[in-house]
Amino acid sequence: MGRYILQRLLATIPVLLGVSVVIFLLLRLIPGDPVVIMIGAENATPEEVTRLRHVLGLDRGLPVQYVKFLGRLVTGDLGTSLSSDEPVRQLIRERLPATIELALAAVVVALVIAIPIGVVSAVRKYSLVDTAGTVAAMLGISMPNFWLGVMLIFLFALRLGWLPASGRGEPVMGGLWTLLTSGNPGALVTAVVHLVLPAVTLGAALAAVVTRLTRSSMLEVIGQDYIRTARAKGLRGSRVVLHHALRNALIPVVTVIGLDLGALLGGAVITETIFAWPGIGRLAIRSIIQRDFPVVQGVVLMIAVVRICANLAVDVIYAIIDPRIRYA
Amino acid sequence: MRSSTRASDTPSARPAEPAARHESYWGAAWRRLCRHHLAMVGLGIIGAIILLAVFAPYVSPADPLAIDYAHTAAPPGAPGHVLGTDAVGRDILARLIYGTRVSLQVGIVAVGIAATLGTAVGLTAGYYGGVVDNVLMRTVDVFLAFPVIVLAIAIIAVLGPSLVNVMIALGLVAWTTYARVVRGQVLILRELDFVQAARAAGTGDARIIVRHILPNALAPIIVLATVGMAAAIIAEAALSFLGLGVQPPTPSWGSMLNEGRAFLRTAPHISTLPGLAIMVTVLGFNFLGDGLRDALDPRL
Repeated sequence: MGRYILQRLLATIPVLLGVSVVIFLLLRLIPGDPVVIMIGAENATPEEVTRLRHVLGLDRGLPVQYVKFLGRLVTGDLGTSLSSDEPVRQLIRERLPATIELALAAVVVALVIAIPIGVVSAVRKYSLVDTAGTVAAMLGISMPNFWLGVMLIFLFALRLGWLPASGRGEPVMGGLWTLLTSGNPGALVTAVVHLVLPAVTLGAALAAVVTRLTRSSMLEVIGQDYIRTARAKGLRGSRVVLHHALRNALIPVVTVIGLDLGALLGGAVITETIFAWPGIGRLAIRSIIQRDFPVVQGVVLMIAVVRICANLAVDVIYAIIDPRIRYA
Repeated sequence: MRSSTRASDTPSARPAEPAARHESYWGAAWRRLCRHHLAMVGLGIIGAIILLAVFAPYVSPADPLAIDYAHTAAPPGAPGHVLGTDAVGRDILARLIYGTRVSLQVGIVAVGIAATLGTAVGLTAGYYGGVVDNVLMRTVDVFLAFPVIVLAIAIIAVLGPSLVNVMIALGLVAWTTYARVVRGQVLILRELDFVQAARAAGTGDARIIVRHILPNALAPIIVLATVGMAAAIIAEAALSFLGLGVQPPTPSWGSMLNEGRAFLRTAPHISTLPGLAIMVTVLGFNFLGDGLRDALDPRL
């Protein structure tokens, strides 16, 4: 197992290097002069162009530029924002917690919706719940999440007025802390009501996938001998389903969520834009519109690294759980 | 594995024999597909969308860019506008019909780029193996590290927003799946007797790949391309929704949805209808994809 994990870790290094090359080339592949495009032709005085080219290191050869870029990357230096002069690292650090909160909330929404429906669909195959779940899952996969977001805003924010249409309250953890220390639930309530619609928007597609997966995984497990043994021992049906079957059926579900984390962050870019959620996705879109390329690079790199780490974590956890997994 | 029945051996116009003894692989697959109800629904939806796109000027009730100043943000059923008008008074039905052109164009070109590039990489990696395989598949890993929409956004950020750039970006982000699946197929196929026989007969690599391996790897490519159309249509709509795709005034479902957001309170149909159009179209491709998967290769 140790050998497998080591090999898996080593295999990540070339991928990380490759990602850094792609991110590096993004800025250099801009047709025309990237500096002129960034600051706009109207502002492109020769002095300004020369200065920026020097700031961005674009006045050296490509290999030299890349080595410098990589050197800075390794020390965590992602460059400086062109529009605000703040370090990109700081911009991301300020906004990353909001994105993580949103992504985790989306996973919670997906699990809360999907696992009960998936389990009931498997246990009561071809029942009303199963059929409705199948149709809902198909719709969930085919529905664009930005449309769902807009429709949720229309219904719950504009028509019913139950939930806010945009923005973020306190961080949920901060709200929880206020509640525990001062007994005042206000901050937590504000945090949660702001989180509901974005989390549902982001979690819906994942819920659809997890519902189908839980169903098929449960069906497979329920057919196995140890479940029959458990039933033969005279255990109650619900106990067999929840304690014996669900536990094993959830393994592939956990895997898919780990592997889907990257896609979730991609979806967060859109969800954050709709709900004015102050995370890294919104930062990315705003930076593209402002042609603030160092920030775009930083966010894209950040998301790719998170995804690589998530995949790595899934593989390593799997190797620990299941001793059969080895490199061939 | 795969047998084919050519119509006849005589030049006379004898009709093709009914598939009694040797039904071709594709014939059998088509028969299985026809029995798949959802796939037929999907095919119907896709057929309708294609017809709308091709005959848009003839079926559209109005010019999608024409502005009716008397009726702005009119609700569905307003005089002269079956599905109402948008905020500046353009006919929504007309814009939805013309929007099929953008969606299908982007889908076809993006999937074309992705399938061609991915298949070429997969064939090369799988057939030659070794260092070539390693380099190509590590490249695939690098691209897989980026979520599709994030990489597409990054590419658009560099190239600038336009219809052509959306097609290029979506093609460049989607090829990895094809490469992986095709490579897997080739690894199996290249060891089979008929490929070994061709090689023993002195057939060149290129010919073996194109004539013997590719035709047998087509089934999963077709399934991926169908589902890929659904993904590309959603992705185009997402990019246009973010203002990074098709630029106004060209009607794209994604940008229509975005334009309606500001009028959500007073005229919710402006955003609702394009969303429904996207969903129905995507559902059609997903249904067909599911059916094709079952019909072409139950193992997939």
